[in-house]
Amino acid sequence: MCSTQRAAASGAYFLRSTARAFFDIGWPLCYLIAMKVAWEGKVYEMEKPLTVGQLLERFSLNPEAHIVVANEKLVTEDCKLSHEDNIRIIRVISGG
Amino acid sequence: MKCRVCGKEANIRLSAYNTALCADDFLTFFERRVTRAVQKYHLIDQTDSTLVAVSGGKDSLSLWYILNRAGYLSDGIYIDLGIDEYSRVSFEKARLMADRLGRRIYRFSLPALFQKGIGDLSKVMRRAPCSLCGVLKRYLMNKACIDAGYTVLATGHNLDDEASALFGNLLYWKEAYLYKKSISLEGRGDYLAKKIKPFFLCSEREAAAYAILSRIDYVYEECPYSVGAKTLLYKELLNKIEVTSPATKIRFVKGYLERVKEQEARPDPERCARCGYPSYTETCNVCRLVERFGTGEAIRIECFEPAQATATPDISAKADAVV
Repeated sequence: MCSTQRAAASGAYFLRSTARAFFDIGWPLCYLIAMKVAWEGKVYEMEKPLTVGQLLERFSLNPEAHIVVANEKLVTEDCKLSHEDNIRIIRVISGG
Repeated sequence: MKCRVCGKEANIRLSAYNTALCADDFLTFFERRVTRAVQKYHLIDQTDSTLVAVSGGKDSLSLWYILNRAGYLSDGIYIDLGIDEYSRVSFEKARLMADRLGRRIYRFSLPALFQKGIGDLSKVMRRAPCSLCGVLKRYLMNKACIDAGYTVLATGHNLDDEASALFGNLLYWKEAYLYKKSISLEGRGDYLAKKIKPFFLCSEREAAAYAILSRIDYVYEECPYSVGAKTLLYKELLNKIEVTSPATKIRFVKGYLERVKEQEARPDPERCARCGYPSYTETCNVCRLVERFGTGEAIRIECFEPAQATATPDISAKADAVV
């Protein structure tokens, strides 16, 4: 087996084993890579990473009336969020 | 986005001031704004003793925390409106803060006096819960202040509350209420305590950010009776304008403060013939309410001592809980 074939074989093995690891434990791949956002007592999944500003736009929320917390830290609108972040949107306006 | 003060990564953008700050610098900025407002508008004198109206929400708990950090040692008063789980959780948060500060908290329970919560009471009275809540809270907080010997009652009303109330009064030309709002309302003798609003120029978003960064455990849930309140609509509209034209809210409220100075001095309010507290009629609303729906018991305000007296945190020291 030449080096190219060996590389292709090891690549195929890696893909097969990764897919098996995911599917064996019953988690679809899309769930694992989705960005999860907690908002008003529900958890939403975003397909791709977004900035805080884009996230608020996606939910049609006013940045003046909401705060985004990522990993227990407040974050500004230009901050890039990733699927590893623990994200919460907090509404700051109350009846008063 | 970088912090304008230290250059570290910013945690909050303040578009009204065209700036962004990190957690440490934002806490310092916010506390300084509140203490400067207290000094500039002579809200609390050295001889005053202060009682903070506490609801368990971000504004009142942050205010109580800041005043104590700034050396204005103050206790709290909580009004239990009998809204099931919401009231229970709110009081729990208020007591947690009382313990954290090592301060006393007073509680008045609506169900104890009427055997009804605010919802049932408003139904039998055919009055909106928020309107009835306002009447009761104003009366009871003033009474608690006077009876327990406090000279100042501090509330957590913020810039958004004031801007939306002003917006509503202007929209419907409610001239009777228009010039009644102020950062401070002077007290009268032994029947009306001085009322102050140290967050008058601080936005709701800033107060929430302060509470989160100071790890203040507050009630995130909205009062169930505030759903559909007009105040929320006004706040939403003002925030839409704020996004496109930053600093609109603060200019609106500051403009009002400049104009309200020109108004005449307020006349002394009349006193209720029964209880002696302020009233527009011979017998005040609360006395009439107690007469009709009360259980016959007198209005009782309970006092809870803190679980353990802790040293009051000092505002000059670095904030102890910084994200």
